[in-house]
Amino acid sequence: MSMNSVNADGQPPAPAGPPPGVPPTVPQGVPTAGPPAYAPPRHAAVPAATQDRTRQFTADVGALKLRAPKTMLDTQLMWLGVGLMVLGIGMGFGAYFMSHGTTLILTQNDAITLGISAIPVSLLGFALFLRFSLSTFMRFWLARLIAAQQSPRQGPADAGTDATTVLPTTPAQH
Amino acid sequence: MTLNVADAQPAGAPSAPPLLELRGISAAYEQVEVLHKVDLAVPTGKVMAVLGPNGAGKTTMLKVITGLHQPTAGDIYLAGRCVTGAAPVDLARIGLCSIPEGRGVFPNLTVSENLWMATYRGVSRKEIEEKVFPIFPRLEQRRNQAAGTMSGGEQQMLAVARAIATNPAIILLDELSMGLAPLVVDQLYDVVGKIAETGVTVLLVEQFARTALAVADLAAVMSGGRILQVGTPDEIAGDLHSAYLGG
Repeated sequence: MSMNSVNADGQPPAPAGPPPGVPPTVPQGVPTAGPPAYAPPRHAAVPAATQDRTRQFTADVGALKLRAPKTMLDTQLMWLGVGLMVLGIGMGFGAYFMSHGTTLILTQNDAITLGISAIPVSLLGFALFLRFSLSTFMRFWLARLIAAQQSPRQGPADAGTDATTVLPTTPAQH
Repeated sequence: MTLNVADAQPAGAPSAPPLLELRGISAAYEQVEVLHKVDLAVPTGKVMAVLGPNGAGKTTMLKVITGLHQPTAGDIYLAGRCVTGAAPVDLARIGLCSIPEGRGVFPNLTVSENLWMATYRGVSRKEIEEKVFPIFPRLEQRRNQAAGTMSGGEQQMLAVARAIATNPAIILLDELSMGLAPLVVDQLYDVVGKIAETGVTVLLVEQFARTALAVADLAAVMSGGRILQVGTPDEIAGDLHSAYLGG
């Protein structure tokens, strides 16, 4: 409201009581500071794109699959995997020495069986170890690989900045 | 004593859940508890500055939020859903972005390669560079330079740029000004202010109170693993001495 507004008679409007925020003890006609000026919040207006991002974030949080925290069983299965890998390698070596330590055909047949059995044991151990130790890393690596493949191909201007051309040489490469 | 940020909300504010909320969070390093039932809420699109001296538990609180450190008690809520125990990679993927103390850039990679790390969010390299380089022209000049050979301020710019490139919903900033010249700090906080103007929710942990309060909508004072005070920057600025020194 302008301070110079007038009513229909051309007279300034009569004050109808103290304005909001003014203590009633102030006599009428005494100039006062009036209501405080509106101070907008520093980041009041949230752009529509951001509201979309927040909605997307809320949806993503809702769709987030929360895994149970790592249990003792996970750790035990990881070590079982390590143990099976070692056992498989040990079985292979054992079968080798077993077959070379005898001339008996039957014993050598047993050694062959043992040696072949070592392969699935090692594979099972490797699978368990992979699942319960490296899976997080592998998933992240795979996600990055997929994202890199899905990204649009770089234009000719970017060809010179390909990772293979700008990677700094390290002492290990010398 | 723990206070809730709801105390600092204006009356009649919409009752949407805060984008980020901690409820009764406690955390410990082995037997030593460093966070004691911390309650904190960051409303959507706001900048909250958490101030406090060394050892107050600020960085630990950020680690708990990002899932890098498991709390011993309490829960973390994102957009109203409890996400306690979520894997850091999952939280990062949905848009919870953290800029750690010490910048966290890859020193042997170039500036461009550091920025390309943000492609895990499904953004192309070209888009990332188009988004970031206008904000940080100096990074464009040094795009083929190894990040480890840049100054501390430039590395911090790179860390912030990489965060922006991921199109985050929440940014956690840990000691942005650590070890930097005041001029560089001002430049970085200008960028934080611009990020905030786009409506991204920012949780800022800082020792330099005045600098942080200049860009914050809300502020909290933390000491001894507890939130001592939550309020508007003006309220907090008025009580800074007592908050830091007691009395």
